Amino acid sequence: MGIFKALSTGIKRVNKNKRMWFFLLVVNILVALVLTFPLYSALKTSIGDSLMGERLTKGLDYRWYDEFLYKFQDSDFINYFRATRVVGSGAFFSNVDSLVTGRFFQFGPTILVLMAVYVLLNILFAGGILGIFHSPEEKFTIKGFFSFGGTYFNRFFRLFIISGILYGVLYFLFVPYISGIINRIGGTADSERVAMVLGLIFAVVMFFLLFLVNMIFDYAKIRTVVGNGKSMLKETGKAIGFVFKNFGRTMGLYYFIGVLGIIFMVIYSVVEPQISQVTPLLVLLAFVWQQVYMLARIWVRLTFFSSQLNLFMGLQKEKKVSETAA
Amino acid sequence: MGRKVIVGFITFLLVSVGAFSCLLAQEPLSKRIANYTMDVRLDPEKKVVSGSEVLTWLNDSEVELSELYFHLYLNAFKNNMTTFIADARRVYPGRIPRLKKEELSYIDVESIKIIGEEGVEPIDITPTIEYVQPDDGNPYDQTVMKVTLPQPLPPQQTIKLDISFTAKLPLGMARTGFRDDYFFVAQWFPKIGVFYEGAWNCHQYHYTSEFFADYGVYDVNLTVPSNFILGATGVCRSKKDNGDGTTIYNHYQEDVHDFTWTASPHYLVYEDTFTHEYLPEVKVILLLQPYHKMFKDRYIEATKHALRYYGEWYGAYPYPQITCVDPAYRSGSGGMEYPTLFTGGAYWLTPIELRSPEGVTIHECGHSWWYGMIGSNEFEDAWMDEGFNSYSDDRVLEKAYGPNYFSRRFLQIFSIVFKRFSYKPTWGSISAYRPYAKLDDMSRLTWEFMDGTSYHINSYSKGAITMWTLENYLGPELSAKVFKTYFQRWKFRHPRPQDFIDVVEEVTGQDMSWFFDQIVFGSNELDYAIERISSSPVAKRQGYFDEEGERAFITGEEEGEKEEKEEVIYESHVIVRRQGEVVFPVEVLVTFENGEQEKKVWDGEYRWVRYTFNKPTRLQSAEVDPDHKIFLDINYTNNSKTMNPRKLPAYKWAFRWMFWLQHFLETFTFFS
Repeated sequence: MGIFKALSTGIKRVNKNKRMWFFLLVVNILVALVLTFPLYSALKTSIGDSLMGERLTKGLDYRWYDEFLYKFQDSDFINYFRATRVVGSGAFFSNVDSLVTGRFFQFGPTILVLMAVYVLLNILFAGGILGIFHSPEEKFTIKGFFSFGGTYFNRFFRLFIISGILYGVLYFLFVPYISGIINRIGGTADSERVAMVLGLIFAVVMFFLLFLVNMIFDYAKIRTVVGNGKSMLKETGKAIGFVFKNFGRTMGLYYFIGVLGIIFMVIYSVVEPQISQVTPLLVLLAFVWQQVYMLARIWVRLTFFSSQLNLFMGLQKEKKVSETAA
Repeated sequence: MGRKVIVGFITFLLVSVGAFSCLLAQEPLSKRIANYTMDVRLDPEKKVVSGSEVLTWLNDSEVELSELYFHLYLNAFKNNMTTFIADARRVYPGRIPRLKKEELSYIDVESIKIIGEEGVEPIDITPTIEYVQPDDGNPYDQTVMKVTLPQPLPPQQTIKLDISFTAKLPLGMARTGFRDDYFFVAQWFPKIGVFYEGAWNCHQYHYTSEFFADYGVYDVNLTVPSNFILGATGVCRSKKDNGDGTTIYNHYQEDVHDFTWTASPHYLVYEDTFTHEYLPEVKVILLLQPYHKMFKDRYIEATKHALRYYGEWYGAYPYPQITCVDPAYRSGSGGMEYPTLFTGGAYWLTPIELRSPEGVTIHECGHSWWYGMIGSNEFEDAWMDEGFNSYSDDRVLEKAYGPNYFSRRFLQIFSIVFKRFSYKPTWGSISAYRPYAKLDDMSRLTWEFMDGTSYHINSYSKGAITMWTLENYLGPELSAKVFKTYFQRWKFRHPRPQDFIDVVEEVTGQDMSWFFDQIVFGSNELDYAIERISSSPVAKRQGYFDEEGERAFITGEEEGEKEEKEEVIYESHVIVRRQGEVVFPVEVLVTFENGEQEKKVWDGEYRWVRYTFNKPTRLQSAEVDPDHKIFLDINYTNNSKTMNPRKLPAYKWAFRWMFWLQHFLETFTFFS
C-alpha cells in the first residue's frame, strides 16, 4: 500500500466521523476553560472600570500588559499570558519550541497538572479513536468510543510509560548532553553562528527523534488494537520492526500529514490578523476561527491515526498475500 | 610677469598668515588638564601592552598638591580579592568572573619620574608609589595608586611625568581584554584621577562603576603586528612599517578624556561620511567582524542617525571621525563607549525590527555627548550619563526606526516579530523600573546600590523615564532648550546634578527643586489614580424651605412638572487620589456624555481632591494624566474610570489566551 492510498482512505474515514472531531474539540475547550475562567477574572479585575477597556478593545496596550503581568507575577499560570503566545502564530511557535527543547517541564505546576490530565484523557481517547476506526462500522458513538477507550486504556497507559522512558532519555539525557556540547563548542567558536547552526542541527535531530518515537508508539497502539496484543513491550518491539522495515512509507506518511498541519497553521496565521476584534461580533468571529483551527489540528491528529492504521493494515495484507503466494 | 609673481606671493603670504592666525585663535574645546603622549607596543603572544607615557598635568585647583592619584584599572582582575571581584560576588552572585591564571590581568608601573626643564635630571618618584583604597579600604585592591611629589605643585602649574608601565590584558572581561587574536584595549594605562571640589576624585574600580577623567590631548604611538588592523581613539596621523613584522600607528586627538584601541587581523574596514545641512562632516569608520558583514549598512546607518539627531538636539559632534567597532564574539567588549570610538554588538539572524545592533549603536554613539563631551562623574552620578543617554537614544530610535515590537527567538535561533502590536522604546524602562521604584535613590554612588539590577535600573531606566517625565512636564520646546543649554554650557566640563538643576531652573524660570528632590534624591513611588466617579440627577427639593419670607413645605412633586419642561441637571463627582508619596501636579480630564470635556489641574499635594460638576449631561469618564506625560507613574491602569466599562476586552484577551492553552494541550497529546 502506498502512502497516498493510506492517506486518502484515512481522510475519508476521519471525515465520516465529524462528531468525533467535535467531541474532541469540546473536551479540549472544557479542559482549557478550567484555567481560562480565572484568567478572565484576572483580566476583568485588572481592566475594571478603567478606560483601558477602550484601548484594549482596539489593540494591546503595552503599559497595561506590563502592569498586568507584574500584578500577577506570582500566579503560576496567569503569567503565561505573554504577547508572544497570544498573538497570531505565537501559540504555535511557543508550543513547538517548548516541545522540542523540553522547556515545558519548567512550566508552572498548575499548567503541568492540567496538561497531565489532558494527556491521560487522550490516552483514553486514543483507544476510542483507534477502536472506532478499526471497527467494521467505523462510526462514532459516545458509547462505542468510551467502550473502546476503556478496553485499551490499561494497555495504552503501559505504552505511555514505555514511551515516557524514551522521551525521558531524550529530554533528560540527550538534550543536556547535546546542549553541553553546543555550549562547549560555541564557547570556543569564533562567532555566534557556530552555536546557532549547531542549535539548528540539534533541533532538526530532536524533531526527528521525537517524531520517530511518536510514530513507533502510534504503530504500537495500532498493532495492539488490530491484533488485540497484550504485551506492550512485545508490541513496541514489533512496531519498531515495522517502522524500520517500511521506513520510507511510514516516515513519508507521517511527515506528509505533518506538512498538512503546518499548512493549516499558515492559513490560520494569515487569516487571524484580518479579524480586528473591535466589536463583540468580531471577537466572536475570531473565537470561531480559533476553534476552526483547533478542529483542523484535531483532524490532523485523527488523520495520523486513521492513515497509519490503513498503512499498517495494507502492508500486513500485502505481507500475507506474498506469504500465501510463496 | 615679475609683478604678477610678487602679487601672487604677497597674496599667498597674507592667506597663510590669516589661516595661521585663525588656527592660533581657535580656542581649545576643553581645558586640557591631562595630556598624554604615549609610545606602546602590543605583544599578541603574551597579551601584554608595554611602553611609556608622558603625562603633562595641570593643577587646575586653587591649592598646592603634594600627592597625585592614578587609576590602575587593570589591577581589578589581578586576583579574587579585588574590590571589583568582591563587588561582582555581591551584586551578581551568579556571575562571578573567571579567574584562571592566563586570563587575569594586572598593570605594573615600572617607573615614574618628574621631567624638569631640558638638561635637568628627571626626579624618580617610583619609591613613593603606594596603593590606596579610598572607597572601601580593601588592602587587596590596587586599582588606585598614589605618588608623593618631592615639592608641592602650586595651583595653575603643570607637571610632566614620564611613566613606564607593562599591562597584562585579561581574557575579555568587563569591556577590556583579548579573545584569541582580537584585542580590545581599554582602561589600560596609568590614568591620573580628577582633582575637583577640593579633593582627589579617584575611585577604585567597582563592578558597577564606569569612569571619570579630565580632558586633554592624546598623542599615541601604537606598535602592533603588521597584519593587524587597528582602530583607536582619534585620527590616524601616520603609519610606519618597521620592517620587523610590526607597524607603528600614530593616533592623535584633542579634547577627549580617554584613549582606547583595538587590534585584530580579522576586521573588515568600511568608511563612510556623515553629512548634514548644517552639522560638520564626520568620517565614520566601521570595524566589522567578517561574519557580521550583513550588518554593515545597519551599523553605519544607526551611527549616522545618532550623529544627526544628537547633533541637531544638543550640539554638533566636534571631532572629525568616529569609529564603530563590532566586537568579537564572547570578547566581553560589546556595548561600550569611549571618546570617538565605541563598540556595538550584533547577533546573527537578527531582523531590523529587533533594533539590534541599531539600539546599542545609537546608545554607545550617543555617549559621545553624555559622557564624551559632558564629562559627568560616572562613579558618582551614573544617571547623568546613562539616564540622559537612554532617554536620548529612545528618542532617536523612535524618530529613526519607529516603535518597538514584541518578538521571540524560535528555538533560540529564528526571531519572530509580532508586528501587530507595538510600543514606545522607553516603555521597557518603565517596566524595569516599577519593581525597583522604592529600592534606591538614583543619586547613590554606583557601588552602593542594593544590587547590580538596582544600579542598572536607577541609572538607565529611571534616569530615562525621569528625563521623559521632565520633557513632558516642560513641553517639547522648553525641554529642548533645557537640554541644549545644559549641553552647550557644560560641554568639556564636569557637571554635577545641581548644575543640571540650575540650568533647568534658569531656562524655565521655575523652582524645580520639588521635582529633583523627590525623584533624583528620593525613592518614593509616583501613583495617581481616579478613586471614584459618580453622576446622578440633582435631587428634587423636599422639606421646609423659606420662600419669599414664608416657610413652605415642598414635597418634591411640585417641581416635577417643571422638570418635564426643563433639562435634567446631573451632579457628577470625580475623586482623584494620590496613592504614592511623590507629589506631582497632574491634569484631570473629565468627559461628559454629550462630548463636552473639562480639564482640571491639580497640584497633587493633598491625598485626594474632589471635583464636582453640575451639568445637563451625565459624566462619562475621568482620567488623570490623560496625555500620559508622567512616565514615572507606576500604575497607569488606575489612572482612569468610566461610567460605561467595556467587558469586551476581557473576553477578547481571555479567548486569545485560551487559544494558546488549547493549542498547548493539543500539542502535548503528542505524548498520549
